[in-house]
Formats: sequence, C-alpha cells, structure tokens
Amino acid sequence: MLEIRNLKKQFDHADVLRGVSLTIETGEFITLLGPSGCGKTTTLRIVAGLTEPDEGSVLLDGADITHLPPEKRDVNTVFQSYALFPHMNVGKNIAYGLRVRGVKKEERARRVEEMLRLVALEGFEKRMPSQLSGGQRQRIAIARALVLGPKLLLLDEPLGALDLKLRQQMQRELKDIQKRLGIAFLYVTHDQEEALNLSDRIAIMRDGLIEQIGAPEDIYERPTTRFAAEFIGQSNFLRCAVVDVAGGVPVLTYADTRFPGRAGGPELRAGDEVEVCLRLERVRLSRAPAGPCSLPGVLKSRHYAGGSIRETVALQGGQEILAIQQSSGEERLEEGERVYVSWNPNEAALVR
Amino acid sequence: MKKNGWRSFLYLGMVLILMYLPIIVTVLYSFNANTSRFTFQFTGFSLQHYKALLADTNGLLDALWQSLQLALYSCLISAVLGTLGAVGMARRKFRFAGALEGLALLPAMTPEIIMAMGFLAIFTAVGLPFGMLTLVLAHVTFCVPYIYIVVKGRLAGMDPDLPNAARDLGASPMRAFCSVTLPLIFPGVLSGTLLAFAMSMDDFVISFFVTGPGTTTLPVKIYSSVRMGVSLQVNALSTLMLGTVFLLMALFRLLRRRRAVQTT
Amino acid sequence: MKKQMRKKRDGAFWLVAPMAIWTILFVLATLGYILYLSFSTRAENGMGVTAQFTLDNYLKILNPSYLKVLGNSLKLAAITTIICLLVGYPFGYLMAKASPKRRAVLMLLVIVPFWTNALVRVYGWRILLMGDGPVNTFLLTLGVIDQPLKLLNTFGAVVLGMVYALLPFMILPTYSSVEKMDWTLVEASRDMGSSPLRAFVTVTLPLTAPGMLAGCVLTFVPSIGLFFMSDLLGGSNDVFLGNLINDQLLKSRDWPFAAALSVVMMLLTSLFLWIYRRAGGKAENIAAL
Repeated sequence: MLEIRNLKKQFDHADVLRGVSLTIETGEFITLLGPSGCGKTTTLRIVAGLTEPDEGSVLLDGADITHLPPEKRDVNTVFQSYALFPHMNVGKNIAYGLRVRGVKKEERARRVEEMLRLVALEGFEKRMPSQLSGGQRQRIAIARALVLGPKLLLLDEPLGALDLKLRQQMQRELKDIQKRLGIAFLYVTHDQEEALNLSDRIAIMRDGLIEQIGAPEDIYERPTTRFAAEFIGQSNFLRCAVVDVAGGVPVLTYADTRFPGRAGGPELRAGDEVEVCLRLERVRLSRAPAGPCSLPGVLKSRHYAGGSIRETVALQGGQEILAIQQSSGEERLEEGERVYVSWNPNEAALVR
Repeated sequence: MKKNGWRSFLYLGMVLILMYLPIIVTVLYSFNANTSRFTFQFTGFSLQHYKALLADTNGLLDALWQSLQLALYSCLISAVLGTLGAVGMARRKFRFAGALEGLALLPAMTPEIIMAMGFLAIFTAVGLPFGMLTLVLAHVTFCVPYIYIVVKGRLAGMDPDLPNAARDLGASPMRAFCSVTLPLIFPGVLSGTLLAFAMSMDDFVISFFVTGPGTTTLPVKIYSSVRMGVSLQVNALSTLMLGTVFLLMALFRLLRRRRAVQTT
Repeated sequence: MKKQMRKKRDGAFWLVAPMAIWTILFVLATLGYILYLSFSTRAENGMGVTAQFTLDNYLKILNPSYLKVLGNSLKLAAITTIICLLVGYPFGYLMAKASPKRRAVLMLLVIVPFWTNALVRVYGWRILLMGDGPVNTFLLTLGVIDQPLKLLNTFGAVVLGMVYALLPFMILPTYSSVEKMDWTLVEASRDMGSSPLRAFVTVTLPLTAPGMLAGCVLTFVPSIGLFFMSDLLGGSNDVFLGNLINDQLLKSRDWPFAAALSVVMMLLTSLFLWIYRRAGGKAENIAAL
C-alpha cells in the first residue's frame, strides 16, 4: 500500500537518511525503532510530506506522492507534541480537517461525535486543549488525525510524554483502535517494549539505514546484527573464533573450549570472528556442564530480585556473563563457587 | 519590605518624583494665564492656551494629525514586513539568515542621528521629494526591528508543528497561516504594532532630517516651538494627549477585567 | 530545479523577501552610502559631492577642536551611563524585591513618562530650570540662595536631561535580571557565613551583571547621538558629536565630513556592542527594549 524507495536526506551536510526502503501493507502496524538521530522521525516526516527527500520516492497505492504537499496526501499524523490548536476547543480541533474540506456542519458534528466515542471522550467537544490531561490530549490528537479516514496513520513517539502507567494503557487502546479501523499505522518510537507490544513488524534503524526488519519475535530470536540484538532485549556478547564449518554448523572456540554455533546465521569461514548473543534469561548456570555449549567460570555475585535472581559469572577466558534465572531454581549456587554457563545453541544468535 | 521598607520606599519615591516633576510642571503650566514668550511666572489659572490650541494658531493640531497619519502608515507597513519576515525566518534556515537578521535589527541599535544622516543623504541622492513619503520610508525602517523581535519571540514560544498539523489535515499553506499561525502570534503582532506606533509618534531625530516642506510632524513642530521660546500651547496639547492615553489605559483595564470576570 | 520546488513548498522565501528587500534598500544601502560619502570629496561649490576618493574627512576629525567635541561626547556618555547605573540599579533592585502588586504599579509608573513625547519632557525641565522657573523660585523663597542660579544652558542641565531620558533603559534590564535571579544562592551564601554586604558583592552583583551591562549599552549608545538635549538644555559651549553632525548636515552642508563623523560614531557604538556580546549579551535583548 505504501512503498518507500531508497530515501536519502542530508541536513547541514550530515547524512540523516542513507537509503531507506520499506513497504507497508494495508492494516499493518509497523514500527520504526531506533535511538535518537537514527532518521526515524525524518522518514516519518517525508511520508507525511513535511520534509522533502534529496533522493528516493514515496508511493501510496502505486501513485508517486514524493513531491506532493502534505495537504494533498491521504495520510494523517499524530505529532509528538500532539500539536493541538490551543485556540480551538476539542470539537473544532477534530473538525478542522473536515472544515477545510468543506464538509457540512451537521455532518461535521456527527463525525466529531463518532471520533470522540472512538477515543472514549464523549462530551468533551467544548473543552479547550489546555484543560485536558496528557492522556486526553493524546486521544484528541488521534481522533483529529483519524477523522478524515486516512489510509495510513503516522505516529511520532505519541506516548513519549506520558507516564509509565498511562503509556501501557494507551498502548492497548492504540492497538485496539488500529485493529478496529483496520488501517495501517506507521509508528516511530525509541522504546523497545512499545515496539514489541504493538507492532506487526519492527524496522530497527541506525544511522540513516534500516538495520533489520521483521516481526517482533523474529527480531528478538534472530537478530542479524549486534546493534539489533543490543537494541531489543538484554544480552551478553561472547566474542569467539570460528574453527570450522561442518555441514552449515559452525564450530566456535572460546578460551580453548569448542562448542557448536547456530546454523543459518551469517556466512562464516574458519578463522572468522563472530559474537554469540546470549540473552540474559536464556543462560543457565549449573555445577556440572550441561549440553554441548558449556563454559567454565566462577560465580562472582548473586542478587535476589523478587521473582528472579541476577547472577554474574566470570568465565575462564576473562569475560563476565550476566544471567537472570527464576528464583524457584533447583540448586542454590554460592558466590565464589566454580560453575558452568550453558545455553541452547539454537537460542543464541550469531552476530557480527 | 520589612524593616528596611521605609528606606527603599523613600528612595523609589524620590526617583519617581524626579521622573514626574517635568510632566507635572508641563501640565500645571498649561493652565498659566501668562502669555509672555520669555518668562515663566505662573500668574493665574486660565484655559486660553487650550482655546488657542483648538483654533490651531500655531499649527500644532495640524502637526499632530500629520504625525498620526505617519505613525499609522509606518506601523501598518512595518507590521506586515516584520511579521511575514519573522514567520518566514522561523520556517526555514536560510543561508544568510544571521546576516539579514543582524542587518534588519541594526536600525534599533544605531544612534538615530546616523540613520537620519544616511536617509537624508540617500534620499537626496536618489532625488526623492522630502515629505510624507520619505518620512514613511524612514519610519518603517526603524519600526520593523521592533515588530520582528516581538513576533519572533512569540513564534519561539509556539509549537512549530502546529502549522504542520494544519497542513497535514488538508489546509493550504495560506489557510494554515490564517487559521493557526496568525491567531496564535496575533497578540505579539498587536503589541509590536502598538510599540511601532508609539516609536513613530515619538521620533524626532529622524523625522527632523527627512521631513519636507508642507509636512511637519508633532515632535518637529514642538522642537521648533520650544526653540523659539515659550509656547504654552505645547503644554496644553501634551496635557490633552496624556489625558487621552490615561483614558485609553483605564478603558483597556476595565475591558480586560470584565473579560476576566466573564471567563471565570 | 529541486531548490525551486522547495521554495514553492513552504513559501518561506516569499515571506522573508519583502523584509529582506526593504532591509537591503534602506539599511544596507543607507549605511553603505554613508561609508561612500565619508571617502568622497565635497564639490567645489560646496553644495554637492564628487566621487573623488579622499581621507581628508577623517583627517579633519583630528583637528583639535573636533577632537574636543569627540572627547566631550564620550565624557557626556560616560557620565550619563554612570549616573544612570548608580541611580537605576538600586531602583531596579528594590523594584524586583517589592511585592508583585507593588512591582506592577512601579513598572507602570516607570513606563508612563514614555507616553509623553521626549521633547515635551525635556521642555518640562527647561521650564523648571529657567532663571525665573519653579526651582529657582522655590530656592529663593526658602532663602537658600539670594539670587537666581544659572541652571539652564549648562553642562549639568544636559547631563540631567540625558539621565532623565535614559534612566528607564537602565532600570528595566537591571530589574529583570534581579527578578530572574535565584535567591537561594544568596541564602546559601548567607548560610555559609557571609555578611549581607558580602553576599551582595559576591553573589548578587555578578549574577545581575548581564542586566547591568545591557543597561549600560542601552544608555551609552543613544547618549552619543541625542543632539536635541544639548540644543534645548545646554549652553553654546556644549557641542557634542550629535550636534556637530547636525550642524555639518544642515548648516555647513559638508556631508562628507558629517558622514566621516557618523562612521566614527558607528565604530564607537559597534565597539560597545562588541564588548557587550563578548561578555555574553544578546543583541536581541538590547533591541527588545
């Protein structure tokens, strides 16, 4: 439905976008996730028509809209600051787009009411934006953007200004609205949890490029780069050398211990270096080696944190490994004890 | 304002008395019965200077009328130039933005007589006839910075995405400007325009140099009257103007209070 | 091509264009023309200007009688600024420390005199200071003096007029810098054992220095050019740079020399603005008042 092709953009001679391509399907919830300055907001603004790319094109339903001004696009935006017009009441804010299009008064009133019902703020027409709470403003901004029935809704960190509890509630409501209306959402955030909860697909952006794109589970289980692995979830990165590749399965070595790596990762040859991404909650600690991937070490610290235990192990090779275990665990390990760190090779992605 | 209260009160009071002394004297002498051009003895109460003023024997009212026209043209033209300029500059980073802004603000930071000399010289060189036209050109030039700064300040306090949101919802650039940006910066535009009006009304140095035969602004007229000796019509006019300003001020406050009552 | 599209898109270019053109026509051209004039030669008949390059106009300033005028102007500006600072800083300080209600009243009282024409206010002083004006009459009745003092047409009267006209420009910036100050710093200093005076000198004064500096620039710069003050209050010896330019322009009609004087004055002004900026001041704060 929306196709972004090879977008490039410079601001003050600095590359902000270096060739971003992305396709969004009807009804899809897609998130641009990345640290500040990665170009996610610029991409969104190019789709909205607020910024013009130096190169590349934007196609909506096959039509090139790259050089169309924002008012001519069937796309609406929820701004990070909400950008509610402070001199108009809630009803007028929501009706603004209809008014510009010359929709009749009765029809406007009906649609405004409908939108207020959608965001569960019936009866708020006469309030001024300054009289609303942060969450209410957020909902009005969504209602205002949806009243024109866009094909695609753009959301620029819409939950950034809200506190944690409200953010979680709004996440559910957003997802609910999106499902009910069945329109595509292009969502920008730097919050990995938000991205994981809401998205059908996540595009991780870094330095003006999309680093990896896929379903949340895909990205979590099979990160292709260290950046992607670091950005979503918490991991240990173990730098290993490749000794051999036998039938697609790489054999790795760390501190003179050999163990298998996951197949289907990056193209590897003997002599390469690679990092094993060990998710904190997928690392197991035990007194005896368990399975083919087990490295010896010493338990350095152990912190009880309610439902889980955080443990640090110093491997024989020197690196420290952090592990999170359920506190209902079987054997209780003591600090200073010799232990083995082990993992299932199929749960540990290899990244470069 | 505790134990040192009376001392600071005394100090503030003394400075204020000095500030108001010449104004009070001006008002008092407007009722002086003395008509001599060269002495200032207060000889008794009279309204004769007001009568003479209203008959406009010295041309003061005519000068006031010219000044009002000049101030109106200047503040309106500079309001348009300064407002559009500030809005445009806020919208995009121009290559020479800093230089242009510095240059545009220069008239507000240069001693007036330099601008005055420059206007006199360049208008002569170009061959413009001195009069209302040259006065308006010069006044607009020194009024633009004030409007620009006030509007720029107002824009700085405004979310830059507001006009974008209007565009996003289908408004043309013009419509977005008129329905969103303009109403939000309007208080700034208004106060800048009033300031420009006051500056234009009050300007003497620049007007003195670029005025021509047939056009005399009030400050220029006052200057020549005062240099000639005593002219208590000037006092009478100043008193009336001061009274008008106070009246407008009181009216404004009253209106604002009423509106404040209505909204709460 | 691409650039043009963008201009059309946000229209910013066309919004800025009128102001830019106006500024180039009337500020850049005007100041440039002054510079050009200052290096030109006065025409033979004394009425016009020829484009003959010369430095004579600048050399002429070095003439002792003109140098004296320059010195006089700087002296007047400096004295005015110092008196304004001494009178205006305490005023701004006390105003900022007053209760909000009193503050508003004081602010209004400081601004109201601006509603009357500057010339009228100077004229009021003229009346007050006349030989048979209220001040002399008052002093004579009290018996402090037995014959009228010469108050008008003196250097002192010019200084009085200048201070009077420019005092608000010192009061307002010092007021706003004191008002914005973080008073907990003064409390902290007192807490650590400073005397009130010491706390004022080591904390309050440095923190409010930007306001003072802005006030000094705002009084110093215009005081170089207010020629009508000495016209109306000063004596025949009180000739300042502003008067000199005025005379050269309208009486002697030696425009190149007047232009050279203007350039010198402009350089003096820029020097002060430069010092101000170096000290961290913002140009806008000045123009905003």
